Amino acid sequence: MPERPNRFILNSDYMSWAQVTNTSVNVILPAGTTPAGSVDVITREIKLPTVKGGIPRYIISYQTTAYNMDTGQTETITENMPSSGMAAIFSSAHYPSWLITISRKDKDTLNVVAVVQGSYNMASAVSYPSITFKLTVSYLYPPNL
Amino acid sequence: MAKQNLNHFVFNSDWPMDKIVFFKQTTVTVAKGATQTVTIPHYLQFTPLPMAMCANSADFSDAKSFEPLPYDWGMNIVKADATNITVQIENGSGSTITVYLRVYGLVPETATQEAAITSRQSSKLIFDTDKIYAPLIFSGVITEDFDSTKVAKVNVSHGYKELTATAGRLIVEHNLGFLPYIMYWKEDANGVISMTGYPQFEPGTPLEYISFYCTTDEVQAYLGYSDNVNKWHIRIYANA
Repeated sequence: MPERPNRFILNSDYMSWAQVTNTSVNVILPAGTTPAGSVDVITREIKLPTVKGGIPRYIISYQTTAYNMDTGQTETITENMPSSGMAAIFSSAHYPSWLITISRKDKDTLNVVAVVQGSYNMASAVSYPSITFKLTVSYLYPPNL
Repeated sequence: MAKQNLNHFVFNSDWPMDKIVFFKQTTVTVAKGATQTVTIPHYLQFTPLPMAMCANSADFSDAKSFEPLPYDWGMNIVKADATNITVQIENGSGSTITVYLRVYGLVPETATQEAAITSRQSSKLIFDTDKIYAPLIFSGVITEDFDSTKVAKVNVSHGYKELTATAGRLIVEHNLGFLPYIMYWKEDANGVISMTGYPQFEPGTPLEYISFYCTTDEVQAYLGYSDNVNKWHIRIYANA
């Protein structure tokens, strides 16, 4: 008999996810200078094997400072970009910013592409610093397959 | 009693788990330079939250997830409507490829209808204490509002909660002591639910805009103005 699946606590009628591993690496992007009128593009390859049969989930974590509307305080927070293969990292001053794309090149390698924008209007060349962010990959695995 | 570590294996009625109510595996051939759409009927009475993985090998040893900008080839659209789950595969690899595809559907918070049993698709293991199950601490459907001072706030420190609200900002207090895992989908005005991955990137027009700021005690989500998003489905899991 079909069952109402909402509010499910523990029900062997429905498959659920397992998390089979969780790996983090620090990714360092070098300092540079954006060309006037354009953006800079940085590419990195990260050795991080996939897990057979698992759906990868990516988190990009970057420490920055932000104004907390609740407390009225400026505090250090983690900009957390989950789920997808793309994220935007903003400096505390909002610019420069790094648009990060994560994609799998092959079963052993992830490809990281960062598009760096130095300023809002991109009119002039802007120097940007090196940044380090944490890339976490975990895998969801349907346990009864 | 010591506080339970939800990052370990746990079955606890305070923290439910996702329910996979649809699963389908298929194989498609995609020509060099082509974009191919795979449409799979889900036969559910509601639009599920879609997920998918694809691989170039039959054993899924090189599995990929949804990737907005795939390397060489991959899935750049994963979406569901009232009838189908649709996956778009883009092949820029320079040769024809065989793509092995697994598609899943999860129950959205707003669904109350029945669904057929899925575990009968397998006769294998259901529970495995070697693996960590992903306990849900929050799931919500937030209708987007431009005003970020319009805040939807919920505390899940003492158990899982669901929330349906209209807001420009979501605050989930969890007090886990570590950063939890978040997944999210967008829903457009036609009820199409998609995996998404395009953040705001000024000065270009933001296609979709959601950003998460996390501490070990709370998650804040900012839901910006975007033309093609009506609602966000957000799930938070007690997995670091």
